[in-house]
Amino acid sequence: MKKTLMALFMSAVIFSSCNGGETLDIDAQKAAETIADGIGVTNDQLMEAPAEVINEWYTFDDMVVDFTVYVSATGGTANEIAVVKSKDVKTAEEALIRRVENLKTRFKDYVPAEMVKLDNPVIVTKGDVAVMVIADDTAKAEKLIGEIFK
Amino acid sequence: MQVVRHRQKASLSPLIKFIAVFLMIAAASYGIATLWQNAQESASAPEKKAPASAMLTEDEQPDYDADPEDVSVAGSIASDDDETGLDGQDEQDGEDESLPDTKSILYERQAIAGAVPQNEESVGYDYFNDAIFFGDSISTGIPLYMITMVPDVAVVAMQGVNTMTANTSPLIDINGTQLTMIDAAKTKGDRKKVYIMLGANSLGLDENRFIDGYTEFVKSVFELYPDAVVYIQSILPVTANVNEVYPAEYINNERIVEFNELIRDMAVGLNAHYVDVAQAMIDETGALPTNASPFDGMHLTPEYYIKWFDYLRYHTV
Repeated sequence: MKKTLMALFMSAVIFSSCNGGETLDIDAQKAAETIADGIGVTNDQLMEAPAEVINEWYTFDDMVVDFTVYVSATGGTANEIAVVKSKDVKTAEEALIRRVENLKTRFKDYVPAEMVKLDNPVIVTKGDVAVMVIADDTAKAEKLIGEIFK
Repeated sequence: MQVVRHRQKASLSPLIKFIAVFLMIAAASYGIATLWQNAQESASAPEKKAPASAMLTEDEQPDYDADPEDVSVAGSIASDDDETGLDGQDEQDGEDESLPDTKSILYERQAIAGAVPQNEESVGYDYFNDAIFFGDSISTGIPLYMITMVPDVAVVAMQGVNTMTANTSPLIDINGTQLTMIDAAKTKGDRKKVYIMLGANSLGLDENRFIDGYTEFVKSVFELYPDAVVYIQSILPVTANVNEVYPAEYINNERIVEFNELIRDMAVGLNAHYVDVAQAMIDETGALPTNASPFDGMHLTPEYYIKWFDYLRYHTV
């Protein structure tokens, strides 16, 4: 009997450890582009940042399978969009939060007006996807993210 | 004759064992299949390429074969009447169509004495692969726009840095750790050329404090890179309407020119090389053209990073 229970228990362990969460059919690049096109930044230009740069700015670990980040093209505002797919979405979310804190350090004395959006970042996770939007219009950000996660 | 019938109890133990083994095999198979699928997804993840927006399109590329008279970016060549005493500078007559935009003269402004003169030939972009750039928000654009042309360049830059905080403030984030600019540079390996551009966030400082802080930083750079060529770049100009976004009265081109003269004197005194890159950016009025910075009058479009590096390519020692 004990053997049987152990076998069932091991089966359950094997089953549950193989999939960390729901895998969403979302393309990080397309999702980020959709948000960038729709978020309505007028005082700056958003551009997709090269992967080499993002790997320096974000503390992504090797659980991240895909990401796309849009940043301020001029460096003059804190507008930023990140879409990350990860096998461990919790650590991906933590990397996004860390990035927000880093941007606060950069902008708090440089352009204090940017602190409003940095104090109100929109960070949403669902399944294996984490999304961050730093922009003036948080309502629009939430709406765009909601549409992506439909 | 009494028949004794013996009922045999049905044995459930083998059945349970069979189900347990079946579930184990099924679970193991599912797990292996999922791991395999994940491995497939990782292997087929799209290669992250430099986004198109970080590279100039064909239409945006400067036309180095254009008639110099058509160009809109001024150069730094002094005329024969120049009293600056620079050697090796010839007046441009605008007739040599093989010369790039940066060698054209469109205004009367003279090159500042003490600046690195323009060379006849430029170095390639690979010149910068063992270089490090220190700077403020303007320099943060270098890895964004120039990564495909100078893939191995190091950049230690951050929004808001001034000549005081460059020395002391742990503003640079390296893998989650906040470091000073010099400490951040130590993570970039040995560098043979150093380019420094500070000052845009320092225009409100007292001039002595400004130059004392800058001097201290340059000396730290010398200590870190004793064998490197150190270039100190001029502060870039701002557009004529910059105060619409940055209302501080001290942010203006006259102040920038004054501070650039202080920087030039400091560079000469420290035996560093002063590179007057602002010359590549100004229009006939001495301001940054509006199209160079349409959003805030200070931060540059990708095209002007190309102009910046083109100027540097012609001004090496």
